Amino acid sequence: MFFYYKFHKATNIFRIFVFRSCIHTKKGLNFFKKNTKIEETDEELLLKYKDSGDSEYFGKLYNRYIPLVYGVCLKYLQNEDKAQDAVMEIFENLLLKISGYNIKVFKTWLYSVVKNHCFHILKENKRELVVDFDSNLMESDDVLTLLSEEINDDRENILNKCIEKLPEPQRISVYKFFYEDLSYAEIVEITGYHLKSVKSYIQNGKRNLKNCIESSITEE
Amino acid sequence: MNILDYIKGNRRGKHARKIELEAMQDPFLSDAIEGFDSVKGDHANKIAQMQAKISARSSSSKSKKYLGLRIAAAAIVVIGLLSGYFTLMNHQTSMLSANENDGIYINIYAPEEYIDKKRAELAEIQERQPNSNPTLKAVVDIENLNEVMKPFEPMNIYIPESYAEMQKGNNRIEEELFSTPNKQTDKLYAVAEKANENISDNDFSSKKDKIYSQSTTERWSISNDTSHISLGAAYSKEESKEAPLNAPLSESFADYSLAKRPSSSKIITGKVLDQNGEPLVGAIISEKGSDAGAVTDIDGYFSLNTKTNSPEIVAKYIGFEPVIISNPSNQQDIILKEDRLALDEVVVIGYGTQKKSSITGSISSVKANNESFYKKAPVPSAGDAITGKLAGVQVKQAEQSESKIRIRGASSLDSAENKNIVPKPLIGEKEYKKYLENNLIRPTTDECKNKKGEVVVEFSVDNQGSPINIIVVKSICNAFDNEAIRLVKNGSKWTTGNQKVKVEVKF
Repeated sequence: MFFYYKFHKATNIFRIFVFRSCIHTKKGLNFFKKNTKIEETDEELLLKYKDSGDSEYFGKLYNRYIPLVYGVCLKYLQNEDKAQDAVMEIFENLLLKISGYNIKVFKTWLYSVVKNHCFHILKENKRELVVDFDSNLMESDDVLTLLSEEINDDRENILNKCIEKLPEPQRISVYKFFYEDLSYAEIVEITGYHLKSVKSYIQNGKRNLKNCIESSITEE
Repeated sequence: MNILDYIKGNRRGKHARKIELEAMQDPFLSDAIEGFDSVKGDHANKIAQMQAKISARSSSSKSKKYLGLRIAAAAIVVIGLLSGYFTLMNHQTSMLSANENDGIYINIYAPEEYIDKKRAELAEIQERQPNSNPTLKAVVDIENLNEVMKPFEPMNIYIPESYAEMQKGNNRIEEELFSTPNKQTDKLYAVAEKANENISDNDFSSKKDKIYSQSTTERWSISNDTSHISLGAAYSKEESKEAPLNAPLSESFADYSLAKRPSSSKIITGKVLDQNGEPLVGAIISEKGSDAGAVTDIDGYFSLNTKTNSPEIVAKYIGFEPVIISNPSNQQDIILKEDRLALDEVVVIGYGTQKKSSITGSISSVKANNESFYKKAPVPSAGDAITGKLAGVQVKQAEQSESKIRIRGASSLDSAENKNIVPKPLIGEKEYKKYLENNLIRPTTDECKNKKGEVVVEFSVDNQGSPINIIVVKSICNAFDNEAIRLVKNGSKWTTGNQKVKVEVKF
């Protein structure tokens, strides 16, 4: 027993020694790495891959988007394992096929690829497809800029008037998000609304603001 | 903050808001966030794993510079393994000694009470024959039992005498009892081993339970899809994946109804989960058109014996939409979706407690102690558990494994359950009316001066015939109401019935 104890201790010491040396070498390598690293854009990486055929470039590019791809797959497939499989499948597919495409913006192109892949998988399993109807997004871009930026006086007046006209929950949510710069979780905490409610209040608020502003402008 | 932090749950502060703002304009990002929020899991970890995989897949020869590190890592692993091995070698536990048993025999956990009882018996035997060394014989042996069942003390299983008798003659019965149509499975062998030659069967003949010993050539084949045994309360988590094998070890073997094992059927197992992958405990799985039913356990696993070969099964759980599956596979997982209707607050009305002495009816009770419960196989509902235990209580197994419990009165000639009986005054309706007129004391309060009319009171009749829960349905004024109530209270008794009675009192 005593011998064993000593032996164990010895291995521990050895382990610590090796571990420390590993850290040192790693730090050294990182130091060199930092000096030479430049932030390459998606399109640059893609070009490098097409030219050289070296999968490392594409791997690097894909890794940047794995969180987003995984998230979207989770949303549609509702299953961790299936989503992970999908992420890897998409990678394999693209590795082969991407050279054949002429892609302007990688991110948006990748988004539609991922969605189509997920739909394809879902269709294989069921005849029906349950998809959330996102009346979200892409509606009130101008409103978004109005709310987010400094604007000149008359537009600000109109905006303020329209905000006052909003129903209370929407007004509160919009105000807190855009003027007080709070996040959804914080708004939930302060107001007691549910998370989904906050999101929909903001969404509808933006839409109402847009309508109100447009009608105000046409009146003038 | 990058999206990983947001995914991990950092939802507060300027940076979180920035991401949310970006999501308003970027459908890719907002879809991804939705995905992470809708499925539970350690996402950051999985993401890192996938990134590592992809890096590995797509890496070129540049990785040679890390070769030194890799060798060092490998060395650490080897040294770790060696020291671990030495650790294990020196580590004495009963677990290991159990492991070192001959691979054929395995130990089974039995409820403590059972163990104590058997120990007492064994001690008794030892007293009678101090020279012998009555070691316990292993009677049940499971092949290929997956790890989990490693008790701290080995325990042997005793077979009740009645069952042993049965087994001796009739091999067919065991086939019926235990075999399922699906035969390509692990077999459960029951083998008796004579650990000590000094003990013979006759030593225990005076006892109710007999140690059943069998030669090794005879075997009970209990085919089952798995290696799972349930003895009363002993359940192992991992094993409950498939059909539990219920070994009939109750002393009153007759209780175990053979009828419950259908001859042609399927055994469907699986688990019931909600949309987030969490198991639903206590969900009811039933077969449409028969009374076969099962309930999911703490891990969401269930096992259902269906009556037909192509059954239609329904999975139900409160607050969730029921799911019907026709022609399920033998291993069927079911995912239930939450009901759209949110459950409003549930109001629970308690009727208070009553002292036993103040109840005029008769009370029969059953306690859930080991004697009556643990020896039997697990049952899907409380109704089943008390079947046949209480006098005057009948439990009927209706469809969908909901039992109807009826207390007395069901076996009369007129078997209509829900007949509506209106109580009548014992002295007769005419006499009662006369009584009301004659005994009416007209109140002379100011409120009720010059008032005329009828007060209608409504009440139920308890099982002694007295009016209870008297309420005024049509009132004129306070004093009149009270007078009416007084009259009814002091009036004649009524015949019993389950309907309410209305009485008009004229003023």
